[in-house]
Amino acid sequence: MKRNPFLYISTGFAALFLTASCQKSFLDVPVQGQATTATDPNLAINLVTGVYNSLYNSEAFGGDGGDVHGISFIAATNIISDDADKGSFDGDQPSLKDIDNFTTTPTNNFVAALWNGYYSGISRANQALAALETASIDAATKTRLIGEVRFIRGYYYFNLVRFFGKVPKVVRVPKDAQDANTDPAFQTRAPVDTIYTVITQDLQYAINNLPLRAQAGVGHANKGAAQALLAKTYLYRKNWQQVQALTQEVINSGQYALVPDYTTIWRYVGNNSSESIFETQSGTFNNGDIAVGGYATWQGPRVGGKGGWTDLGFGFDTPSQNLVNAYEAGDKRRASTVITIDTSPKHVGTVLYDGFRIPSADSVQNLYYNYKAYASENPSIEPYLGNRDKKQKNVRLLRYADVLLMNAEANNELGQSGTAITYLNQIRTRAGLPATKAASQADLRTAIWQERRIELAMEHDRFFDLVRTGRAAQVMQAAGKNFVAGKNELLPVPSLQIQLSGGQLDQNPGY
Amino acid sequence: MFVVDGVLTDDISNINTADIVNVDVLKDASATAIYGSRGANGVVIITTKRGTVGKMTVNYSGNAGFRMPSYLVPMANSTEYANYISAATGNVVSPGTTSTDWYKQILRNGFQQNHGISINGGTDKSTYFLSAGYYTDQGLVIDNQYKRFSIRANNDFTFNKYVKVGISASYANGDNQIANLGTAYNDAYRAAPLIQSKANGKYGNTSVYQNVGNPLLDIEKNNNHATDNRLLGSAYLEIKPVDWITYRTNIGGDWVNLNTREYNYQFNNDTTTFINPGGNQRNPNSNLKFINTRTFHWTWDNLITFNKKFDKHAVTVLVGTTAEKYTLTSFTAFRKDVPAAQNLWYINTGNANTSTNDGSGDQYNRNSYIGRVNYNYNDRYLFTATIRADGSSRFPAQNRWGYFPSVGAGWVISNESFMAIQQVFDMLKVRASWGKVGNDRIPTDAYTVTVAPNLAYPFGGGIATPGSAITQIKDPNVKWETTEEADLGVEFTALNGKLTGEVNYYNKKSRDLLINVKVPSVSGDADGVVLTNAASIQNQGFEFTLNWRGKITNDLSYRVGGNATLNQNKVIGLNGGQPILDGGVGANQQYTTRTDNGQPVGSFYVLQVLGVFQNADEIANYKSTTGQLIQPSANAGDFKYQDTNGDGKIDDNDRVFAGSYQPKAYFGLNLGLTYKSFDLSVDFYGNVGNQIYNGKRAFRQSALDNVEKSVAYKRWSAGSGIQTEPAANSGNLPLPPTSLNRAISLGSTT
Repeated sequence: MKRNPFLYISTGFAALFLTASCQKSFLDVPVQGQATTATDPNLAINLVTGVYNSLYNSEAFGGDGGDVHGISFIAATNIISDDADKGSFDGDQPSLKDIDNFTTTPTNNFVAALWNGYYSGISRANQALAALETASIDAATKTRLIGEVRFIRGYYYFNLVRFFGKVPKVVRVPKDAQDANTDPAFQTRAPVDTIYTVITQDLQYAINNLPLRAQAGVGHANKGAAQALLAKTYLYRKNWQQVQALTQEVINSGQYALVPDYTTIWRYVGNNSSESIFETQSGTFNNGDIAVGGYATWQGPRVGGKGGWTDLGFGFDTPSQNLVNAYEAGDKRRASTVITIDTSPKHVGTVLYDGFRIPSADSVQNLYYNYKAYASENPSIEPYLGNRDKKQKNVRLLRYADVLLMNAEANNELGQSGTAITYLNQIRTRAGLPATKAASQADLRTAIWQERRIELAMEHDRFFDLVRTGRAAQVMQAAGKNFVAGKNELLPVPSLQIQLSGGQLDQNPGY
Repeated sequence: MFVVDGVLTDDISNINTADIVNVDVLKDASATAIYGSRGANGVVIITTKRGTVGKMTVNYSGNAGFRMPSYLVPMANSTEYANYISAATGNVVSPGTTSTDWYKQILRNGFQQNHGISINGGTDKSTYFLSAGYYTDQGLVIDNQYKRFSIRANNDFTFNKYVKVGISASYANGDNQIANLGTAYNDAYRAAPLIQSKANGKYGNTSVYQNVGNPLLDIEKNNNHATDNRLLGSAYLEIKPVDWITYRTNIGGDWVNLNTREYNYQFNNDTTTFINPGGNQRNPNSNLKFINTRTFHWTWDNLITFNKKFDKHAVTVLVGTTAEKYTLTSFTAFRKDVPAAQNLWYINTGNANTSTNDGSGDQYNRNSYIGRVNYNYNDRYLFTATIRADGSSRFPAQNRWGYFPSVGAGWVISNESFMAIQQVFDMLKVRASWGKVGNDRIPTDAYTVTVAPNLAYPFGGGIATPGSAITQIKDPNVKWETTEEADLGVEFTALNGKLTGEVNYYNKKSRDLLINVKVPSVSGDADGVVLTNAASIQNQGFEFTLNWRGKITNDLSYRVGGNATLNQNKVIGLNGGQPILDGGVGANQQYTTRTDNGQPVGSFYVLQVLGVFQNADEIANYKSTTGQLIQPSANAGDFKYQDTNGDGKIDDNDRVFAGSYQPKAYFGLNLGLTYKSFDLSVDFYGNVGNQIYNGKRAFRQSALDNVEKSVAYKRWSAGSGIQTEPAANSGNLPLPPTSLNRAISLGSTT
């Protein structure tokens, strides 16, 4: 048979046509292996869990998501205060030393990580809120979830306003990079009052829509937590009536009580105790530990001198001599707050509650370590799957003792010293101390402030408290720190963010 | 991009070099137009050998050689280190009797060999080429070794004058023993020379000097092995119904299966491993990880060529389509507590309670239409025009297609009658071309908002509930990046073929560059960057090539050749966006480069170091115009920075542009000598005008890290006289840490 060449030609054109005709579907390739908002049926609920997950953000060195409760948070709350020193050896992490010494510059990576971390968390909250709006879930669940998310967003803004003062008010999701780069809300700082309004509205919504602790489920934000946090924001606004009313509601709710033994508060056995109002949760995921990254390890006792032992961490955020000296004689809280390294010539070392023995001072970098941040590496004592960066430690963010002291302070300011003394003494009694001798309003005020320092030592409260009460400059300078009044109350706005705003973000005074 | 026998690929590492018969580099706009977006950065066409009509012939080729490191940073020895550290810390350190050069401990001279055998032959109806190759290459780092076995079959069949088919297929098996290079290199730069590397099977404990790992142990306590199997093949069918029409369809496939196995031995920081116990270099649980990655990439081209000559006019018209699809699947499995015996390195022997696994996928498709016309008048005037439409699944539906034209013209002056009278030029040609190409090299998820899974939270402790988050802002309108290129060139052959040369001017403008743009943190983008079309850049320059071939006797000939490229790169537009800051080094969030209008891409943007403060007076005298001390907290021996904006303090606003990593010129020189069938050649190449930021030197990780020899000798100390390096105890991090102009040095490689 003679082959007809034009048969081939037509076959060829058929092939051309074939590739042409299926072009539309051929180029329509969905992203492989990545869910989209359309493909996740439980999007809204999952995004809410993702908001809780942002409590773990702890990338201090430019990693994705920044730092919410990691070393940057530890530095900007504890190390910066007179309660703690930078720790480790002198040349380690000079940017932390800057925070400790008030020589922080706008390029400080830890400060930048905080800005990134909190806005990353706020963005997750905004994303979750946007998804919840359109989610087809029952109304009761929806308002509860919105309440939980708004609680966390309120908490994030409360920390932001305390770190930086004026900050951009971001309560919606940017549409795209263009939107993010041009909307003035993203580029300029809103007044402090505006931010406090955001916080108040978020927390008030949470109060109105969240169940009490007993019904809320362990670890979830609840009504009492929102009331306690709103009381604390009013404390910073010196709105004593509101502080008194809100803390009284928490006290009267019957959901909370001081635990008898202060020692247990920060240990695994004290996780979500009767005293806990809000704390980050820890546990396991994908056969590994899950918790705030590095919280225990950054603060773990560190090898030094002669070495020869396997240390427990990097040795930062060490309790200061100033703090150690501030304890009254007989105060039980000191031994549960401070790990004291053995400096005696007998070299007995220090044995911790899990049996771990830290050798004496000549093999250890620092003399004190934060006991509250300690997590055991012995899995028969506390759960531990071997991931040092994620040791299972619940970070206590709000606890009942704080509520009692806030109530005491508000009552004292309102002239009701009797109630104030009652609650103050509850705290002192547990600590093994006699009732307060303070009687006048001024003395009582000082006594309550002192009690806050000791009770909440190393719990990320002290520096903010000094600024709130206007004592920061005087106390810091007395502690030998290079504090400049009118400047060092706030951290600098990260210079990179100012540049990315095209200079529209303004800097805090003095920086 | 490489085109191997018609198959597009980015990776030619497992192609047997002995099989290659020809390598063509296409650069100008009209030459690469046929490959479209895939050839945006140039096309290298690799043709492998095919069978030739005749008797079967067998060929063997082989070679062997050594490789050695050309240059290593000289590090301080024990005495120099001890002096430096004593000054830095104030504690006197004794140099001891050991002085370890850590680089020497982990490097060696590598032996490599290559063997290939091939058979080829054929008849009028069919030809064949078969080859097999074996290649081994010992790495410069101990424990590093690569082996490759490859086979190839290229066959062509001619049925009759209308129909021809052919097939090319190669299989390669690569076996790579990978050394733990990153950690070991970093540790070798830092480790104290006072510590011995290993004695009697026990390692020296380098962690005594600030938790630096022993580099030798870094390498020996893990075993990382990768095996890849790759099939690369193509088949074509060519039909010529009449002698001026050719239809050709070509199907190519590239299939890769890569298996990686990583084993980390269990070891403690006690005296079973170390000479002295302690430190943090330990691995309490052994672990094993398998990663399997499979990719498949097929391409299908259909082309029809019409070829007609009318008197002195020759016309070629080509129309066609191409389609391609790429898929990737990968998964990972991991367990701890896997026994140390190599025959037990399988996932099932590990502790099931520690199992984790992961996986991912990827896919993109492309489709193009091409039309091209070539016109040639009497081999004097040449003209070509191409238009292509490229479709890529990486762009959203509304921006999926890009249209890219190109034109080219040439004038072969030497074929003009008026040139007949001269004797100098054998060939002289002037050519010009203009064209556009698109670039779609972006991740496949660039325009889709995705949800990051497994952001879990354990309410009440225990096993966490999975959650998710939208952490990345996406540009829903991302579109083709377009490069417009104009070329003008002259090429010639002169003096009876002895002298050949080429001069070429090019001007490339890339618009809508697909790059990561930084966005403010308040936008909530977790990594702070969004991929979008931003910025335009321009590259323009000249290329020169000149080659001379001469004969000394009939058996002995020589050749001398040189080439040079002068390139100028600058940013010509930022699409209204902010300058792009990038290049953060190490443990901080700062940047080292700034891409801005009128500057080369990625220009270094750093503080200017004026020197080292030699004494307290210099610090006291370093004042702004208003009399303010510029570096009040400095000590003698610290860096002195330039207060560029004159505001009396050193901060980000004092940064200056300090050149770019991009060379201003490239050059090459090649010399050759041929005697009968022996050939000797020497090639030199290099570049100048680029700057290198030495990130290692920009910061030290701890005060007890080792230092480079030059730093040890040039450091400032009281009474040392003028020195260029800061004092050992000046705090190892200048302010701000990465903004260290000192770390920039003129780069040149030869």
